[in-house]
Amino acid sequence: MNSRIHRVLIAAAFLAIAVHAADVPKVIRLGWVGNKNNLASTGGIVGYAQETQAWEKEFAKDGIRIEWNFFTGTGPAINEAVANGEIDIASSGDLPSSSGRSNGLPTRVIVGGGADGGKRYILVAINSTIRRPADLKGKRVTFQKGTYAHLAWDRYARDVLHIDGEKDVKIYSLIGGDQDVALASGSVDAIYGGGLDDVDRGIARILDSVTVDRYPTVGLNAGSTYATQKFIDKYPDIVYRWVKVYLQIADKIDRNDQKPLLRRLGTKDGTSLKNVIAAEPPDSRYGYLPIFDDYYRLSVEKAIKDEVSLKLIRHPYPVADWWDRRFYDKAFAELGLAEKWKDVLAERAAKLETLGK
Amino acid sequence: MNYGVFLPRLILLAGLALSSGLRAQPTVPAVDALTDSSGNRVTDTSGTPLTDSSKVLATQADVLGAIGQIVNVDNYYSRALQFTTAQTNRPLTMSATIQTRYTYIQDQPPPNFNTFSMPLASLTFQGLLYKDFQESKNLQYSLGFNSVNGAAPTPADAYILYNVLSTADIANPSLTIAVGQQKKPFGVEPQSTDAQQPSINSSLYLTASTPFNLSDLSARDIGIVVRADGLASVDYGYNFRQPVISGAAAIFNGAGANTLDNNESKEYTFRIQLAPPVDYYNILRGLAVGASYDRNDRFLAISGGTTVPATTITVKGTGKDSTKTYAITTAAAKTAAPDTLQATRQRFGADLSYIRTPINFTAEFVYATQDSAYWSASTRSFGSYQRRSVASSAALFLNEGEQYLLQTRNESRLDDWWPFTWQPFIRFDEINPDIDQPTPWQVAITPGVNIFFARTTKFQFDYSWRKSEGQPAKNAQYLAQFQYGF
Repeated sequence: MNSRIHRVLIAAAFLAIAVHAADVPKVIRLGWVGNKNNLASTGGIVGYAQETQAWEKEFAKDGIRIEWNFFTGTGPAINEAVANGEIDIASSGDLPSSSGRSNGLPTRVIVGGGADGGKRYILVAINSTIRRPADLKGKRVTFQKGTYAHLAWDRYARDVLHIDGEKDVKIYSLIGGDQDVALASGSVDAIYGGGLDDVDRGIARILDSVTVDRYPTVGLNAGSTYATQKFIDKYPDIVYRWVKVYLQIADKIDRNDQKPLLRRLGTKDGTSLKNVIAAEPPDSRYGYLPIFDDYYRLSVEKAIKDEVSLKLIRHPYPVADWWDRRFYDKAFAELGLAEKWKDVLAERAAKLETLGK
Repeated sequence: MNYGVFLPRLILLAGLALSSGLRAQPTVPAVDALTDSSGNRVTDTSGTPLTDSSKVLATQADVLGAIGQIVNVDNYYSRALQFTTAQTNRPLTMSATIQTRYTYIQDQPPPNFNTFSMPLASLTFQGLLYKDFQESKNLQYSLGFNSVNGAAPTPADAYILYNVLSTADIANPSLTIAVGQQKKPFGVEPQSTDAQQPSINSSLYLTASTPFNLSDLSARDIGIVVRADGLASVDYGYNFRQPVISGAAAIFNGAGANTLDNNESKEYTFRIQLAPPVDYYNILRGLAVGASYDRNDRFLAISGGTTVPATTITVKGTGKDSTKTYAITTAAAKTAAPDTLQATRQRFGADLSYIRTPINFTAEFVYATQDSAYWSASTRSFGSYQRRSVASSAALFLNEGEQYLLQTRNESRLDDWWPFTWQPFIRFDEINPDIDQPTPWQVAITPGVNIFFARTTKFQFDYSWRKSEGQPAKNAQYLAQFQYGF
């Protein structure tokens, strides 16, 4: 009898362990945009987290592994992996993330964004006869279609050049490294979104630079960090802890003493320190802090509206249905970020006018 | 990188910089502090202020060190290029596939057939003969050699291919012309790749040991294939392209893979495929219906010396002999002379496929006619009749794993990544070689599994239950195979 009770107790213990084990995943699979030098690293908040193993440390006690995935094919490749159940949490630019959602990809945005596209350059060959942006009409322009650059170029063509970005130039869809080769070989006339390293190497010169201050309707990049609905439903506590670590790092980076490490991370893909610094926006807090506010919401809504009007996506969708703010709001309150980031929040609220509130 | 041009120039520049530095009285240049866009000084992790590296002059030791490293690299690559590096005139990608198989067939002598074998060892060279940097109207080539079951290697897929239309954008329509030895654009399985054909052996209609199978449909031949597609449904959010209509037209010798034609007529193959205009995340992605047609007129050789037996009839007695029978030979035996017939083969194919990882399904139906020879007792000569046959095949297989996602394969990785995944499948197929004659039909049910454990390596296990009309259902086959390569 004792033996039978013993066996029942052991079975119950194993059952309890099994039930408990089902509450946490074995692995959290992250999908992020890769870089043209094919290195498995990134910069910014997530690069900082990777370097300091912040999520690895957070989830080590539960035996949860962090799997990093950096996609050379950028946003479209991330969408493919998410659609096929290979990624749990991912981030990509405004066009790829919203085009996925537009077609029914079951994702929910769990972290707000800065909505600032940073500083992007339009490069032409060093010996090009193109002297001003208006000369781009009828020329050959390259960027990777389906990425943030696709929407940004179409906006630039519409609002700055006053032409049709799809019809009035010849577009070549190439990934980063191939763009450099194409420009150097004379196969294209311009790169939209090129890096300053091409300028340093003497193969390109800057035709124009795009920032949200210079071109408010073009310089936005309302990218999204999202989790799959399946992962959220199954592991809500894990999502909350992941978001909280994300915000903790953002808060830590918000202090200037973290900038040296961030800049070093920015050089890991081969970009020179000088150019990493040059690409920084005047106020990195304004540009990069992950904030769920009206500025971010309007940026995303404008992106969706533009994507529909420019025929980059077919089906518009309400932003509110895409967002799942529960985890962010709880962590934001617990970390007291409303007080710490109040000046940034105020600045962004003041800038709403530029978005056409 | 062209080291032969680049390195000497770099060394010369470095040398000039060094010599000028040695000649001139060194002066300490003004070193600017590195500042961000707000004008703040930039520090490293220890708090040490950084300087603008573009303003710092290298020391003599720095320059000498750099020169030394460049010379070392130059020496290394010069030696490697001359002595240990294979070189070609054009870009080249080499690939190989090797199969090592164990086969066990029940109730086939001796007394059960079982053997190790190397069914295939292939080596393929592919590359560009001309790269169009602007429009990507590239000129490609392929040259492969297959050795089947240890036989001498023969050319397989030896052709030149030109992209007539620009392939610079996935939204563009496509038009290619391929000239040389290649597969016929018929059906799904005859031209399937590994991803579409999970089983070790092909379907019965391509492999059955019957007097009349359709194995030539999956064989290669020498000729011209034009492929085109249009109305591409493009989803840039996934870098996805699915043409609504695609097709191919081909002309071949019709005599076989590596032989000259033996008659005036040629073999013609046509195919059209339709797919719905959908985005990547649509449930109908990967769905396609197709139709194929193949016609070949060729000489059918009838070997001479065929002995035609005398015709014997049985006659019943009458009257008092009514209980008796008599065998009467009505004609003498005859030996037929060798002959040839102008025989026409026609194949009509219809197929349905749904390739949408993880669930994949293919089904196809083939109806074939072929002029065949028969002996006419009345005319005492060979004549022809049209043999009609039908075959069908359906396969269901599951692809669960990252390696089936093209863009996921191209992730940035530091290690030799490849997931350990399984691909279970089941296939039903049958063939009736002659629907007008009591020729035995055959049917096979083949479940199996493929286990992928390295980027170009998989282990396959198939069990195939086979039944022929009028035969006991004991012809079970067990196949285990490693397929590997580079």
